[in-house]
Parts: sequence; C-alpha cells; structure tokens
Amino acid sequence: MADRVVVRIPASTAHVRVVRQAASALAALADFTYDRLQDLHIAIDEVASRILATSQPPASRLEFAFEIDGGDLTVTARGDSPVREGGQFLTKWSQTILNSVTDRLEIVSDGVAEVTFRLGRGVVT
Amino acid sequence: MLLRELRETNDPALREKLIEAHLGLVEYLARRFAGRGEPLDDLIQVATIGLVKAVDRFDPDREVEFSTYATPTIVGELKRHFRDKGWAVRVPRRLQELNLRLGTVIAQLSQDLQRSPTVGEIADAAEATQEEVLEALDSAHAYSLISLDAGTGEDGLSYHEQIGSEDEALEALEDRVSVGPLLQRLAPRERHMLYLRFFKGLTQSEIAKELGISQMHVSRLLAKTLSNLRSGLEDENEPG
Repeated sequence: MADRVVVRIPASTAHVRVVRQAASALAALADFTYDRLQDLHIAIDEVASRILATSQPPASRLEFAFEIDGGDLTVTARGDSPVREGGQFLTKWSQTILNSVTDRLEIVSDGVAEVTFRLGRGVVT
Repeated sequence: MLLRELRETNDPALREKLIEAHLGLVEYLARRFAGRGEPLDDLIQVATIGLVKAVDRFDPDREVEFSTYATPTIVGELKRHFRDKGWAVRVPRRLQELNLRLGTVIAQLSQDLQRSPTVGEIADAAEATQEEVLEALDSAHAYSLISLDAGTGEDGLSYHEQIGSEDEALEALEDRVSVGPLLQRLAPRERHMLYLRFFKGLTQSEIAKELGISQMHVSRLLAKTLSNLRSGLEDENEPG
C-alpha cells in the first residue's frame, strides 16, 4: 500500500513553498537523489503556476496529493476552479519542462485542471 | 581634504569627483552581493546611491576615514535593495554555514559516487540531519546564498557555438510567440542552461560539470530563470 500525503494550500505562489517543503521531506524518505529533488521542485512550481494562471474564476485552493511507492513519487495537483474558457492549461513550453523533469505526465481536464506526474528517485547504485 | 572643501563650497563638480574617486569601493561591495539573484549592474547602481548618500552626509570633523564611514552606508543600501525585492528572508547563520558547506559536499559526493547523491548521503557527509539539509537547501532558494567564491566558470565558454542549434530547438516550440521573446531577453548562460536541461535532457549534475559551476548553483539559476519566465508570461499573456 502506497503512503499518501495530501497538502492543501491557499492559491498563492507564496504558499507553494509549503508544498515544496513537504515534497522535499517525502522525497528524502523515498531516498531521492539531489538531482531528482530539484526536478520535483521544478515540476511543482510549474504546475502550480499554470493552475494559478489559467483558473477562471481564480482558484482559491490548490491541492497536491503525494504517493510514495517504493522509489517512486506520484504527485497529483489540482485547483478548485475550471480552466478559463479558451485558456491553455499546459502550454507547449510547460509540457516541455514537465516532460524533461518527470518520468510520466498525465493531464486530466474534467472540469478542473488536474495534472499527475511521477518521478523516480534517480539512479542509486 | 576634498570632503571638507565640498562641505564648504557645495561645488557639484567636486561632489562628482569624489563620487567617481570611490567607485572602486562601490564595485567591490556590490560584488560581495552578486550571485544572490540580482544582476551586478543593478547592484552597482544601488551601491552608487549609497555612496552618494555617504558623500553628502559625511562629516569631515569626525575622525574617521571616509571609506570607513561609507562602507556601512553602501552595504545598508544594498541590503535594503534585497529587502525591498522581497529577498530578505532572514536565514539563520547556522543554515547559511551549512548551506555553503553543502555546495562542496554535494560536488564532492557527485564526483565520488559518479551520480547525484541522495539527501541521506548528503546529510551523512555534512554531518547534519536530513531535516537540517532540507532546511538549508530550502533557505537557499528563499534567499539565494551563492557563496562568494562560487566559481562561475564563465570564462572560456563559447556560447556562440551553441546558439545556432539552441535557436532551432527553441524555435520548434509551438508557443514561441509567447516564450520566444522572453528567452531572447535571458542572459546567454541562462538560455544555455535551459537548453541543456530541457532540450538536450542533461541532468543538473551534468550541467554543473559542463559549465564548471556547482550543482546547487545550477539548480538555483534554473529555478530563478523559470520563475522569471513565468512572471514574464503572466505579464504578457494573462491580463487580469
């Protein structure tokens, strides 16, 4: 059974730091390498900023759910408001970034913007 | 003494001359604050304001050297600049020291292990707890504490050789209309770093090796560049 941790924050960039800190602690538990920890931070920042930038009406909360399974960390991020009509949730640029820092990326749009990404802990021999 | 003369005459040309005579001190002090997320040119400008204040306020009757008087004024101005920029999260000395040490520890471990070290390995090598390591790493991002000596390895790097293929890669982006102009405005090293990480798929440790800078420096620069791009995009594309 995977360990699941959910962090819910007010929708502001200032609070994203709290998510990063929680993610760091979990990544340390999962024995992530420093490289992967930084990738995780980049992914969180990118996803959070896209949710904040595209929600209409503006999201009031962001939720990040983390699941550790062996050496993998799966993160699901969602706001509580739909993507603005005609808005592009993840731009090509965001996807480029996310694809390079994560191992798997899944975008769900069932009313609210939701992204799931998975990162492995990195090479540890 | 010129400063006494200035007090008596208030001659603008003399004031100018005094300011120019101390620009070396300005640059020296500004450099001490470089690498914390603000361009050196801006810092020199801010420090110059501090110098001007010092020239205007210095009391020649007090028996101190002008530079002794000016230094805290200039440093004060620089610190205020960071505070106004919202960078002045107070980082406890203990974390600052650990943070500086981590730069070396991570570099050494990466070399020894030939891969990126885990948080646990970093903590062991730094003789700190994992919590302390995470806290120190986090504080580094809140207030970019690039060590003053952090070899920047900028010398000998030929960006121009890379620019051709970089441009091609960047142009392949569908939304280059929005990101493109912002990328153009980045410093060459920042652009190059984005290219290496997101288009060539190099890891941060590989980039550190290639650019000859510390891995922590790479992660800070990357995070900062991405965040600048994001705020640039918001300004341009997300009205209201």
